[in-house]
Amino acid sequence: MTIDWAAMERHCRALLPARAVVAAAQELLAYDCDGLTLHRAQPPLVVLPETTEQVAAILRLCHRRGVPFLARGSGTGLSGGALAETEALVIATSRMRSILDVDLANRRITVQPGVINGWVTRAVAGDGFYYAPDPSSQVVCSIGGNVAENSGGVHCLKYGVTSNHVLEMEVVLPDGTVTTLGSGLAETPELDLRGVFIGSEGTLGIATAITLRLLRAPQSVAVLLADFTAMEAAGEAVRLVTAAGVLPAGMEIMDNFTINAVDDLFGRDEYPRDAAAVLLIELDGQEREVTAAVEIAGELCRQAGARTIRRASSEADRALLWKGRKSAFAAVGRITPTYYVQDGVVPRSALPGVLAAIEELSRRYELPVANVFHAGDGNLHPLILYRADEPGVIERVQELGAEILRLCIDAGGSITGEHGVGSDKRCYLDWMFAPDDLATMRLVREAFDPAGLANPGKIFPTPRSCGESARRQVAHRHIKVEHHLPKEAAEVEQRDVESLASLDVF
Amino acid sequence: MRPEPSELQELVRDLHRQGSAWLPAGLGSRLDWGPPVQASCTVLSCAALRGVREFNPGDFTITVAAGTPLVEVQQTLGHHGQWLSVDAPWGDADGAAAGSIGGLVARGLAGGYRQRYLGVRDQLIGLELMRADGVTARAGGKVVKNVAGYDLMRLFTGSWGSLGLITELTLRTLPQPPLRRSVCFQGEAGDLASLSRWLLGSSLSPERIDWWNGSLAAAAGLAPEPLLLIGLASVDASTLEEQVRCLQERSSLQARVLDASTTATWLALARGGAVTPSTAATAPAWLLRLGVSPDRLETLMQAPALAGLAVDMAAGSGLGLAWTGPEGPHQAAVTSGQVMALRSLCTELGGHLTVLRQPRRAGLPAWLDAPSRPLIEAIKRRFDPSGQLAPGRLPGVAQSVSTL
Repeated sequence: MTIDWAAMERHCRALLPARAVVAAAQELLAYDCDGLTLHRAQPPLVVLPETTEQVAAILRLCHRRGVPFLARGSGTGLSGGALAETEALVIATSRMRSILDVDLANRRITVQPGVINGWVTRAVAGDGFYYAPDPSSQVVCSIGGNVAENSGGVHCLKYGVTSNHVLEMEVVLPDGTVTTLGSGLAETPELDLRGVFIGSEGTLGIATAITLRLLRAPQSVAVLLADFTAMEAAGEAVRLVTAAGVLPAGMEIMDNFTINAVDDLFGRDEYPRDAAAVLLIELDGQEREVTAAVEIAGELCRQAGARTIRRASSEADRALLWKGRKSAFAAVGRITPTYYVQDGVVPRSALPGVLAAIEELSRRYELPVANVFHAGDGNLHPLILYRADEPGVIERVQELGAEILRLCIDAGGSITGEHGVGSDKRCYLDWMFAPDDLATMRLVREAFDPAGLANPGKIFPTPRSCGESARRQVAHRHIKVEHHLPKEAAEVEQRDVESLASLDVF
Repeated sequence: MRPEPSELQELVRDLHRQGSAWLPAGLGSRLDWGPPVQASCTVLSCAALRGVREFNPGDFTITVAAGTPLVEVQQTLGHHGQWLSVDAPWGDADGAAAGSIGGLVARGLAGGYRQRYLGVRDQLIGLELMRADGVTARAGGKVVKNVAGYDLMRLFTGSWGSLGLITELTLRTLPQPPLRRSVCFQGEAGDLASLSRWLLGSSLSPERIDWWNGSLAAAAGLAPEPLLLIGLASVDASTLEEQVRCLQERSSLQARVLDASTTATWLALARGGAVTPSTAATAPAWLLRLGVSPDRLETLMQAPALAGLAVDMAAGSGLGLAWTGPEGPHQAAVTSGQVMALRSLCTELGGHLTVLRQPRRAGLPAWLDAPSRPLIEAIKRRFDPSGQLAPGRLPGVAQSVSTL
């Protein structure tokens, strides 16, 4: 179908203020990719509505004219979910940035979708509350995007992902109808469409107001850092700590490759260079409880074979221990200019075996792989390092990436823990699910969006995007790969800019 | 009907060919909860789908057949120092009416443990289901973090059998808290409200904060005054002591520290004790699910519309249950009019009321229309185009009284 984009622009201008319609080629360039820069496609038209009514009017227009659309938050997504690969109207929520209601008595807050994740906590921190899901891009990423991707974060081990924290949503359906899913309470006597909408990657509609659960900030936080001479020992420490009933807020592991990259970046030996793994454990809660938990966790790390253990409880000392982890991707980025990140998940007990297998694959493909991961929940982020100017390297990188995902699935895991399927991993979704599984999921799509206009082509494998024989490797061969910050970062307030410097979007 | 696993699919396909109505069920212990279904409906129990399919303690996840009793799952986990952090369903949960894990998920009603561990929907990481047309499908997986594909686990939690039969579930498990302690306070609603407000705004993280009304307290052999039951858990004994002290200092009310066995007895009582949850003459005439904005709980608990009901509410979520004794001469006290008034009050207080059980001729819709009713009906049409499953029972769609 050919879409008359000039006519669409005129119609959009009739519905929205002039500044809310972007049609100039040089401005559209800013929307040609999200955080996954491997894929690029410039959309024909972008609108930036400010209200629910405007979103509804635009979607009614799309519905009437059969025009596909896709919603975009801050553009930090890592699965190409906001990529306008087929001609589609991009609806950016970056001007929907109001906090609509703060209800501390019921520990909830209602925000527009463009509100930045970190702003939610900032709005209530003075009263001792916070919003728990904390993707590493939280100074830039939007709540609407978090809802679309069901984003996690370092602390989701203890506190859960986005879906555990959304109470109610106002949603504009693909035909322009506005409805409410859920209520201000945790349970509502209705089908849990709120639950199925979260993580649907923009394929079911656009959330225009989101009510979130707030948590009380813990009284005390402590960080423990232990280093091990074997990855298995670090894995064993994670197992012992979990089994002891200590539920850390987060547990992160860095491998030897990453440790050395970080030490190189810092120009000093922040971590022992010969360590096979560094384990970071963050514990939070009542002060006395945290003290006891640090004691227990430290003892269990020693039992598992930790060489040295460092502890920190003051904010500054904690930041110091976290610094290496937070800089890990920047450090790795200094070794080669480009890398490709995966988001596989494995059962916790399979971690050591899968890591060993990744190392073996890395040797076979002659591509270095750095491993930094959420050890508590088995979510791996292997980084495949390469030089884009090396002939044929992209294919090799993607083959390796696919083999790593294969390993995760064979171990009983998943192809994505928090980044989403998007356009990046849709050709692997049928590795996890049988045709009947996918057909059943599509029933949901057909009920929400019978015309198939919302973010078309994402999540589900299609013959067009994943041609039967070629699909295991193809996908994205033509494009230059690089890692850069999302463009919307520029829109973020000046005071965020410093933290952006060390931003690690994973 | 109680098909064996090998017969299930063929049976469902037969029912589909005939266009027969059927009700997906677990062990059938709470069949008459919620909206009444068409009398001619075949009940298809998954009681024969039983047992743990996969459990590796180191992964803190368990895969079970949907007909496995919750108590059995808890026992298996208990041997490894783990548990499923959910409350048993209301009514004789340890006895003859022990419900299945599939039933618990299909109703999706969480109890007081929600305070620390979230709800039933939040424990579920994978699902296998059978559709009305006999097609088997899976969603989610066996890992605790997974965003691949649509979240059908949540769609099916609280779907009351309207979309398909749940055949297998994978859930996250937790290590059992090494130490637990409960404290209770009795007194005026205002004093309990202020203690609960403070506690919810504090950095303490109790497992539960249950608010009972006077009738329920009386059933526990206590003075018929409202009561706050606070469950604490920790890895450290001195932390527990400090938290108990902290609570004592906060309130002018007398604190009573409960031992483990008293706590267990009381919690069982608040889940209906040995009362049969449905069908039998001894089942409660009224069993209601209540929800209000947590900050309006004090108003609810003092409402005249609660007269004659035992009430157990979770202070943090504003969700809970209210019930009466069995239908009979002494139960004239609670009328449909009173429950309708209570429903209006709950709505006014930012929540809702679901009628789980009611006297035969009361005729109240179990739930009211949700704002998203057209979308809910669209989902139903896609999953069950012939309207075979649990006819008349679709959460978020009120039944018209004439169909009752």
